[in-house]
Amino acid sequence: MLSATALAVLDLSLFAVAVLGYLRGGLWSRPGPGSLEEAFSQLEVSIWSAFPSLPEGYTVREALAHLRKSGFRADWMEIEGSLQAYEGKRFGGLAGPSKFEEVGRLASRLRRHGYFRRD
Amino acid sequence: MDTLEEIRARVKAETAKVVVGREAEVDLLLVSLLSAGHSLLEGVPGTSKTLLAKCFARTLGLSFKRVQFTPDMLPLDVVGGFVLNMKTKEIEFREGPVFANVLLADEINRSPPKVQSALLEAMQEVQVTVEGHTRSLPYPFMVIATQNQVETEGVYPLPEGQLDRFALKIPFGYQGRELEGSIIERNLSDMDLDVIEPAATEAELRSAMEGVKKVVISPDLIDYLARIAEFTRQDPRVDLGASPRAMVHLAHVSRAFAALKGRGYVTPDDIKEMAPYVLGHRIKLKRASVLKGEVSSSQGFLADVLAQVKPPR
Repeated sequence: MLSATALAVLDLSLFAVAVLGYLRGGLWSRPGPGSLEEAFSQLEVSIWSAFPSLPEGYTVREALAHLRKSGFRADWMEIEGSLQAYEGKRFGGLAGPSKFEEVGRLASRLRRHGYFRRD
Repeated sequence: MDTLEEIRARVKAETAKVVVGREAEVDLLLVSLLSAGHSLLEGVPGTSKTLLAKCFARTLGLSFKRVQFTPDMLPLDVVGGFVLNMKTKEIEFREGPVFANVLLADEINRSPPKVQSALLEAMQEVQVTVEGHTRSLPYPFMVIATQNQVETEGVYPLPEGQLDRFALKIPFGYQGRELEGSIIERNLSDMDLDVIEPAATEAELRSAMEGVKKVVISPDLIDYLARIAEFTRQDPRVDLGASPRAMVHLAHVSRAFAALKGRGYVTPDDIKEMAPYVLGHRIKLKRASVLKGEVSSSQGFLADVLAQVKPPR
């Protein structure tokens, strides 16, 4: 038989797991981006919510360089490739297939960073 | 853009045979040439401004003339004038040194304003008018001027109108200790500019310049340029903001810079990277703002501007 204290601890643990599950599933995770533009749009929002002190005049490339310098872990090679593809499409009207999953993952991590803002 | 990247590599390799370091400056000179702009090289004496300009012109295989500006010069010493040909007994036009693809105007701020002004038409319209006769200059035409920043004795500061004609002002600072050692070593033996070989033919250069004109600059970026201009003009710390000509130069220069990087389109980063070279010498700060410590220099002010004007993302 479990004591009342053990039951209370178990109860609290289950509650904490439920709350965490809700936060991860509801608050932080959004549906992944469906396109390159959407990925960078999400990334832009995430960057400036995670680092509100970044100057308004920063470009996405500068912001990413700032993240990299801050020690943020990501597949920076893939992100650079995606950024080049995005810039080509956005400023040069170039179309072509490109990866954007890592950009989406970075945006998601930054949202969590923004939630526990340490900036 | 393959050819342009090859030209860039060859120009750098050839200039490096004589000039130590200065790779970024070579890139900026190339950007200036490709955007049909002129460059003002500024720095303390003895920082290889003239040497680099001479080497750069040599690598291009274009016609090159050099004018050492002095206080006693006359405009016809630069643009040329009508003289009597003793053989034919006829008056004919004798071309001045401005009739070259690349004109090195050495220590331009040593000449009086009258001579400096003689260059204005040449720089803006690629032609000169002498006694009512207008003559076209060769194409491409590029002025590379040098000026020493610390000398004040016998120097006539360039007026704003003249400065505005220079697409880029390229600062020449001291190089690091390691490069300083290489400079000394290289100068211990005789240096011969003849080791430099042309890195591009005239046709290749013309083709590269035509290629730059095709580089896309999106409407969003044009709007970004307009907002930067507006910001520089409305700031209370500024006496004279960026002129429309300055912004046109910045657009052209950014396109050339993008092309040099192998891209067919301009990004906001290209504009931000080129802005200090294109706008720095054209912005005049209010003396009171500088004295009050509200702003330290035009470059500091530009850093403020670029940090505040939101680029398209």
